[in-house]
Amino acid sequence: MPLFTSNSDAAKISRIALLTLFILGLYEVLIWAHIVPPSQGSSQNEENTIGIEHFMYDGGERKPVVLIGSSLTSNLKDFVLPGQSVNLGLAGGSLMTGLEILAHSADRPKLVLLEANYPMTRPVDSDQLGATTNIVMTRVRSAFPIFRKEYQPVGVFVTFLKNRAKHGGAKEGLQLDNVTHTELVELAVKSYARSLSAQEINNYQLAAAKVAQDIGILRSHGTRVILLRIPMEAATDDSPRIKQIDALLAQAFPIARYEWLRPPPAVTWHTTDGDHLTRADCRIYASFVNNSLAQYAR
Amino acid sequence: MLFNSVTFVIFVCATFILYYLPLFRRHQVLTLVGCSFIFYAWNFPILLLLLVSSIAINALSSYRVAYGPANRRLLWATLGVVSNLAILSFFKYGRLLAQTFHLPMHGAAISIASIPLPIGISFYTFEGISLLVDVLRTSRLSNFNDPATNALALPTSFAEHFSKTALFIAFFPHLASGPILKARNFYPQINQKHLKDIPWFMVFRILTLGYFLKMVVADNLKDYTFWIDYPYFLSHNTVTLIVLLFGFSMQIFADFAGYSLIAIGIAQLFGYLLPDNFNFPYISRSLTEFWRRWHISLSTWLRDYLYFPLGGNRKGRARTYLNLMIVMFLGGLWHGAAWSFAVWGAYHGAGLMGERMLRSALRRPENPDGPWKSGLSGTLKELLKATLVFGFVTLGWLLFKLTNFHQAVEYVRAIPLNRHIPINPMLILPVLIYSIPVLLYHWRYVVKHKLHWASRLQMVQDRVLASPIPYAVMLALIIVNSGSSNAFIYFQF
Repeated sequence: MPLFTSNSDAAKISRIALLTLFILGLYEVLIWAHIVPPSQGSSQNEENTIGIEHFMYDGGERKPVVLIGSSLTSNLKDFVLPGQSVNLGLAGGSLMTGLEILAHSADRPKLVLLEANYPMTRPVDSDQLGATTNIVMTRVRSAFPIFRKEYQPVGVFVTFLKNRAKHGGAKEGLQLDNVTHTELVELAVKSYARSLSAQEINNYQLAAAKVAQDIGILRSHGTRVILLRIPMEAATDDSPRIKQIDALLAQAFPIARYEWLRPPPAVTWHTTDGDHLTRADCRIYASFVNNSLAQYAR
Repeated sequence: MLFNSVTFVIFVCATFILYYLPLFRRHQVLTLVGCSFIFYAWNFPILLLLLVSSIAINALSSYRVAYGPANRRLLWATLGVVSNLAILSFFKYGRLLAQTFHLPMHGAAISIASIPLPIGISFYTFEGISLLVDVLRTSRLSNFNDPATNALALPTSFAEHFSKTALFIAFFPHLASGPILKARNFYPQINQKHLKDIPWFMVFRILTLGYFLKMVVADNLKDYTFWIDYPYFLSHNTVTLIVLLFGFSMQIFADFAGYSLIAIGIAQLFGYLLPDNFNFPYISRSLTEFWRRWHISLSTWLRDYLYFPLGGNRKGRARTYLNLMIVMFLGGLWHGAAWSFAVWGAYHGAGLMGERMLRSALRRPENPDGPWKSGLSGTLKELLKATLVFGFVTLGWLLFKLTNFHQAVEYVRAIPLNRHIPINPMLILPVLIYSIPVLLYHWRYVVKHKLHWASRLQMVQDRVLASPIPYAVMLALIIVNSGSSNAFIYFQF
């Protein structure tokens, strides 16, 4: 056959294209046969995309509870109402992107837990949104999981090694010593010592107005929306900037018109860097959220 | 319009069809210029005015240098060069200079400073200067009216010269981030092109490698090297910090070499050969060799149009060192409107000076491109030198990532201090995996050109590379393992 013997440019390119199709086909079959397990993602961006993919392709849209927010929320992982909820907390992002993704979804959840912390002003990640909600690619990814982030070969390999390391007794998450932890908290407190500028206040007001509008739309579809203010390190929470942001958000979402989760117990919360709860405290906080929601349901 | 966007693919296809349509064959130059203008104006149409002004200035002044009175040539060339530098200084460095010298910013100055940095301005102003200098140099040796001595193939009609200059400066594959063209290499190529002359397999290979380096290697690495940013690096261990820096070195190569290959491949689709920009830079055994292999179009530009006119190495040792420092300092500043880039340039300038001093003290002749020493110990010595140069270069890249000088210093300080923090294998592992293609890319060259004893290894390598396997694997990974789309690092320059 000339395709396999010819030395013309067209034949050479065709041979490469055929081999590429063979490799892709083989990989897809391995995924369908569950020989290739999905990855958990090894970077923030991968974890975010995989979280969105679970929401869109693995029945996440039909879960009754959706958590939306930034990395503060994503750290809560599956601890909040496990099995019933999906976490759309996007590390490095904000609830704006999560709300947009929810708006693109066919189903509406019964309950949305919305993070009301300082990252609210972060804009919509249009690259992330465009890549994950593109109509053509959504259909392609539904039919062929090979195109999903969770099946990227390098991510699958890294997850495989990660799981092996876990079985071997490796510690989960980054363990920071006291010196580094103190340094990071001091740094966070220092960066929050400065009050908001007039421009920043305006940004928070605009962001809150947009979120309020989205809450209105969700409510009109019968979704209950509860705002939650995730605790941080005491020194960070007491900083002028964070207090100012909390006051602004409280003003933008008054208790009379918006439902807030009751404040968490006044205990000492531990964080890795002043902002993000440690894994152990994420479990404690999630347990508090679960108990609160159970009380509300009663 | 990013090279790795669907919009760009559609744009290239449309331009390609128009370009080779028999109806437009006689107007290929104008077709390419028109499409290049659309490419440039895509995000900020207003910036097209600047590009057209730059083309007009360079076309007019170079035409006057070539065909005007002999006693006015230098004047026109000087006017053109000064205009190019003024445009570059104003749009790129205006804000930096105002901040540095605390100049008042009010009224029109604020609105001009708020204009986004025009994409490719550093590249096309340098190309304009190359045109003027090349025409001036050629005019002293030849007569442009005589085709036999007109080495630059400059047309005699101004309209034709204008359209050719427009293509030289605005040709879209190289417009945003180079490679920086030289008039003497590009003008003679401007003629009618035919579909049958396209080297399809070559273009396919170049584009596959270019897109692979960008979309699979660089775009994935950026998600990990993100942790180099302040203050995140403070919470990482010594080894993690070193690996992240290593990863950034790989990323910046994959990003820029990937971009350059895509530009070269696409230019070949339209019948133009752009110069190579990279020649396996990370195998360099000296900084001199590194600068002959890294961003070749910029380093040769700096050599031809700055280092040589300053006197090069012909005016004594002290003057050579001074010239090196001036060239590298300005070359650093060319990369970005921040003093950290100038420091980066000075860092390399100091490195080059130190290297020359050492060579002179040891009485070693300069032979940067020479073969590697044979035998195991010779190869190990050469590898050690290459590792040292790579370490020096990689440390310098920190100033590209952390443009705040204080933060870059903090990063270097954190490397020995953070030994007590546990290693984060989940960051290290992906960085090492995504760096493998860049290492293999360089290793291939070492085996082929430098290791005389590795003939058997070379044979196996040649056989693998001649097979469709590596390209099929790269294509498959582009399809299923691309990172999130991101602008090219050099777009900001």
